[in-house]
Amino acid sequence: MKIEEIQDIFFQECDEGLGHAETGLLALQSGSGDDETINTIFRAVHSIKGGAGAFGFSALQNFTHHFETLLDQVRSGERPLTPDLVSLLLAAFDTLADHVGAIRGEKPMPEDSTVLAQLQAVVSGAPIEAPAEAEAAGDSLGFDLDAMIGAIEDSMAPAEDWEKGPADEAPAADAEDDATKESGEEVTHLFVRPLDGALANGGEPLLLLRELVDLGATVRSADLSSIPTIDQFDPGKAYIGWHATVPSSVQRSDIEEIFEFVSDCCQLTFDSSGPETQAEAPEAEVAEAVAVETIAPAAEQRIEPEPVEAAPAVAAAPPPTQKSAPATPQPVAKPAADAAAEADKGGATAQAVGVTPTIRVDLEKLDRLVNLVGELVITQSMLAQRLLDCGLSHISELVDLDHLTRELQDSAMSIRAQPIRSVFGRVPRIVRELQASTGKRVVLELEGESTELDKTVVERIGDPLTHLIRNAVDHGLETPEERLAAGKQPEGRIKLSAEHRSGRILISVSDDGKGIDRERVLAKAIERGLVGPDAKLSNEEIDNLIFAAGFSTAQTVSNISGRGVGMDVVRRNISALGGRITISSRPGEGSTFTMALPLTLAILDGMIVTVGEQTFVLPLNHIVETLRPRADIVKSIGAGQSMLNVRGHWLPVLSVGRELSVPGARSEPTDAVLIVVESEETGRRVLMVDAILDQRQVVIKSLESNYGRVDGIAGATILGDGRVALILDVEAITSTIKHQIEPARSLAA
Amino acid sequence: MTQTEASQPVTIALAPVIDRSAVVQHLDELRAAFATGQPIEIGCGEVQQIGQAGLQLLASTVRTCRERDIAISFKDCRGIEPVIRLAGLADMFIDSTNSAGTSA
Repeated sequence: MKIEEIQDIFFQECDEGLGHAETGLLALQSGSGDDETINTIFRAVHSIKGGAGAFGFSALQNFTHHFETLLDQVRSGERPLTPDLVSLLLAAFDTLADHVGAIRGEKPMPEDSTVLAQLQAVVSGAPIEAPAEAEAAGDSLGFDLDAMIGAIEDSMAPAEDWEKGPADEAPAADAEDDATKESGEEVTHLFVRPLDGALANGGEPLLLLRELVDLGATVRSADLSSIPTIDQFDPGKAYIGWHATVPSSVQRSDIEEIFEFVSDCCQLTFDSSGPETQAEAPEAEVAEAVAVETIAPAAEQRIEPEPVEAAPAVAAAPPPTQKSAPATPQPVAKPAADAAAEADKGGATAQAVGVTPTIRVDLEKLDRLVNLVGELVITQSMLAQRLLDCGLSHISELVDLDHLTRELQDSAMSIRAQPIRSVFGRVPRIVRELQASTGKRVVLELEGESTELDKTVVERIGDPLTHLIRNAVDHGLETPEERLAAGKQPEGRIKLSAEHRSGRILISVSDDGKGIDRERVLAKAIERGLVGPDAKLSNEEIDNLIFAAGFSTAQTVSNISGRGVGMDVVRRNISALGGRITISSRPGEGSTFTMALPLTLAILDGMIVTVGEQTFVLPLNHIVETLRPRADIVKSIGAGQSMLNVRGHWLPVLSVGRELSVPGARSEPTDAVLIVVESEETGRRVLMVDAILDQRQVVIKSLESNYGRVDGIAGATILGDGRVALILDVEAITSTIKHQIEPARSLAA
Repeated sequence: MTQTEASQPVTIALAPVIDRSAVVQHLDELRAAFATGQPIEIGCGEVQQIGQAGLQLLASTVRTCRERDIAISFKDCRGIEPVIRLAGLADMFIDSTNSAGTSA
């Protein structure tokens, strides 16, 4: 497996970890969290930190380290979980999400100094409400390579003494040596020296060093004696080596295992003599005592390292031969190991309670499987048709094959299904940011996060949903003062929900704000020429005006919404997914935007109909009923138009043949089949076709990618007899008569 | 690389990922910078990944500055702190100085 593939897995794990962490944090915020919630958050952050270290994402690793430290204090009970602390954890989570976005190249590197300083300050015991102190603490702990320069200068001998040997070593952990002795713990001394070739093929010796640290090793000093000047510098050569100590309790075999697969590119030396002996031993002598071990490409090793926390900083880098001031005992390596152990323990607990094992599959492979299953479905249909033509339609094996094919198709599609939680998970942060920027107070409710739908739909629904949330807060909710004046709670409520209904998924964004100001919407629409000044529009039609391009009633243009470039894009994006969006609004009580989306973009339950010589597929989810009308329930209203009386309601009839210019289509409703359809945008309408042939599941093929866009057509499919059938776009066809309804209806009545 | 007036340092902004190819690129930049004889300023603010090759390049740069008596300063380096710690250099570097730059 290539390093890029392993990194992709890490990114996926980051997403999962962020999801778990945010769920946990929101539980803490709502007061429903418990000790296991804290553990879950800790494990998620810990896991991200491990991966960040393994792949060298230093900034992310640094941030997660401090975040994790605070979480560790919380779960140990050392730090009480107050609302302020939860807020800080949420802010840290947001920054963590930004860091993850940055390493994926999706976002710029976040400015994390403020949050980092707050984390560090709280960890060190400062109250959360003291940002100034926090910042100061952050500054004092901030790393500056300026310091490194001085240290390197001190650790390196003067130029003329550059080749001096041990004096060139940077004494990283002299203080820890004393600490080790104080603790009475015996240690094993190691010297790790990557050789030329260690950096080839993506090899990264620091990963091996990190694994050592995971075992509890402490890096005592870096051997910089081989560093050349810039003129002699060869990027492919390894120049640095490290002296380290490992508690004697660590098995030598565990240490050797780290280097087991590095072939001829890393020197590992054991020296069981004491620290003084080691410190005084010239490198050449140490090297003689060494066993050279070999290994695989370091970059392909899967590790979850902890950053090495050296002893507390000293005021200035000491000269190489001088020991620094005594330091506090034992570095963080051990607590980190404990943390890892606890993380493992958590994993074991998860397994104990029966977590379903999973496997990661390349999406391309999965899509190929889905596509092949689609072809199988088509072939099965063609076989069924052929057998039908031969009078063999009732053989039991054919029925079994049909069932198995459908089950296989359902299973294949379910593999692509994902819970919408990943999209909903972004919303709390959006709301938090909106609260900060608008001054409005918002209580967010999430419902149906485990609802599953196709991965592609999940991926594409994020932007429209984000805009609807922003719109709800910015336009829908009132300010706390306005709400109090209206007799409402100062906190507005936004509810985001998802549910399956009739083969589709409905995602709703509701607010309890002021509702759509229809007078202002209509006035704005007239002002912009979107409707005529004497237009008679229903409430529904006025509400839908906000989806018109360039429409906005915002009093001021903000960076949240109000540029009028959002809601039309929202509708277009949803429409592109085969979905629809509808509005329900009541003045003073709030609005609900409902998106109706298909569960999958690959298959469709449809009714096969004929119009003239053509065969079409009508999506079943639009169909309310079908009928052959008697003459007395159809009324002509002239110009080829007619209305159908459906149990007292007059509905306009639209000829598919005429709309799509199909020659030979029947023109009289009483000679044809009428199909009552319903769509979110246009409501109930009647489509006129020549005949109904069948009802079946069809595999959707893109017309745009294979031919081109055709108005009124959503796609194509291949029928059992091998013919291509076009899939009708009910929304598009019925919208053509939308504005003729009211006059036609009154005429018919 | 950005070159400024004689008294101003030559600025080199390190790439977000300092892998071997980035080291090769920065090596060329550094060699060109040293050829000017002017002070060198290295920006680390964008660095997200740095490994042994990158650390070696920085160490080599410092050594060269020292030998040639050229001033060098590093900016915005907090992001690479964990790697510095891992490489066993933390005790020497962190908090040992707060000066804006270090002359060799």
